[in-house]
Amino acid sequence: MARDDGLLAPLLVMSIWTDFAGSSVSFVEVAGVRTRVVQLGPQGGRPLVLLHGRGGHLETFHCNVQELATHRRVIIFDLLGHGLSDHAGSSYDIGELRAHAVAVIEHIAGTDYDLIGQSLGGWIATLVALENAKVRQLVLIEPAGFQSEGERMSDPKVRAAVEKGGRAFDTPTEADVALRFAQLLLNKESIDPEMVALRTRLYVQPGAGAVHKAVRTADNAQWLVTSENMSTLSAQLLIVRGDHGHIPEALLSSVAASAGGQLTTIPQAKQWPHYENPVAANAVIGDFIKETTA
Amino acid sequence: MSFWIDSLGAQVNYYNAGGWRTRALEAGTEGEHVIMIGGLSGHVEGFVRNVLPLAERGFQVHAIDALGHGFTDKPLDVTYNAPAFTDHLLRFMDARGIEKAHIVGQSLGGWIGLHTAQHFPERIDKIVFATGAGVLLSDEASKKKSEEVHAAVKNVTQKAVGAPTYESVKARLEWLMADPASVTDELIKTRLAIYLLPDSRLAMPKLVEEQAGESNRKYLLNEADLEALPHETLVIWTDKNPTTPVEVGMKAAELMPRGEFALIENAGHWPMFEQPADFNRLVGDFLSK
Repeated sequence: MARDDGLLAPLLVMSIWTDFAGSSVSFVEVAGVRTRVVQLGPQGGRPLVLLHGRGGHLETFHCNVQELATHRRVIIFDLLGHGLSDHAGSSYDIGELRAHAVAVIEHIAGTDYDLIGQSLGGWIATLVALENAKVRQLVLIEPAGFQSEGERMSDPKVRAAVEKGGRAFDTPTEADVALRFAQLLLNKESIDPEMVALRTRLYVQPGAGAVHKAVRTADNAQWLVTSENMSTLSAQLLIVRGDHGHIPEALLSSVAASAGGQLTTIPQAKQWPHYENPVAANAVIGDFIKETTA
Repeated sequence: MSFWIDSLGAQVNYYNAGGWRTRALEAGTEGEHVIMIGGLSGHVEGFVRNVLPLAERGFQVHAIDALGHGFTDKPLDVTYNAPAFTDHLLRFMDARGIEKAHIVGQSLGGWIGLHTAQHFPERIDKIVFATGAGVLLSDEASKKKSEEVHAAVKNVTQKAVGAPTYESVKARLEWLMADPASVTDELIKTRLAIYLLPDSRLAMPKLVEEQAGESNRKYLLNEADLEALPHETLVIWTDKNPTTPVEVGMKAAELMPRGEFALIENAGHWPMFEQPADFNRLVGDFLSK
């Protein structure tokens, strides 16, 4: 979006590069898997690890990284097979994605860290936090893992979105990628052309389509998280949903209650509230991760 | 395209270069080392269209923010003359374990390349001197022009760093380019963010005063210095360079025993950014041969 209208321009033009200004971007090899990692923020701080969702990549958080890094040392990476990380998986089920994620986190940050997970990343983050009592804070953004596939698909909106989204992996043109991206957002006009161009570049990589298909079709029933599981969570929990998100509010409310956590609804947002309304999401998440470490 | 997409697959690393935190945009895991350095008040984003293409030619490429620039440290206890930049370059090479490197230097970066080659010849392999600074020819007209260029660079840079605004940064960048449309919003935003960093606000007036000031002129390479330079050097100039005229570049290439000259058309002071395909082909061929 080329604009040339003086002082307003710097506020209106989005740029992933400037959103990541000051970050390192590196590739680390963990258990033979080359993994792309971005880090920003004070080196001494308690690490805050961000996990993206299905079909995602670390740029998912480009509107949040600067704000979060004012409070914490932020670490973001591409999940196994995603973004620019190696396509080194086989089943791409939750267990395999989680094993890679834990290896990367421990390689970079040790075992003392907090977690933010979005969608599928929220599912992984929940499982990791349930096992690692050193995780003190868990933020889940429109998290997967609390609904079985059957329940999810009983909602016609979800079914339609999944069907449309699949095309982005079979025939990744910019138009298909834009269509899938639009499924995540309430305001279709808020689609950023740079993100669409980036996602297209990532999706056309040889092997990327096969990874995404595997992730979508993996049988993850054994890792579904129940309220009983959540009642054993030692970390403080914040769930962030979009007011137009697909996951029923009652469900998320009950998940939050079972862990003694809180649920926040971000207005004017669907499945990517952190992206569609970053001002509101950054404020809520920033307060949560700041307050409880003070 | 965007900086992020242009550099997809490259790394942005921060090194402790002998006490000075140094940002590097890097790509390539094998081959000879190539270090790219930009001009006064520049930053690695100027090389965002070159790092990956040159890595694909089989080099390990490192574009660095020079001392006092970009996201590199900006110490207040140095004098920003040629020796300080050379000192920083060598500290970066030491930190990175690089014994010897090709230098691709644009403007001030070219001067850093030549000055380092002059004093530490064994650390420098080939040099690409692109719309370079730091050369002083003997004839009166060239001397006068050199002083004018120094004054003009200082003037236009001081305006941009003194009270950085979107408009002042845009004006400084448009002055660099043959085509003002080469100045993208993203480039302006990137540079404005750098100029507004607290350490930039503190150090940049000193940097501009000293780098483009009188005390640095004694480090200019004169004709005898150029004749004594043993390194293979490719001088790249453009048809629309706003600083030193093309004749100076051609004469410098003639004087250097192993100098070559190439002209890139439809480019101003940033041929690597305005005509990246031509620039990458020339530099890749020169470093490969």
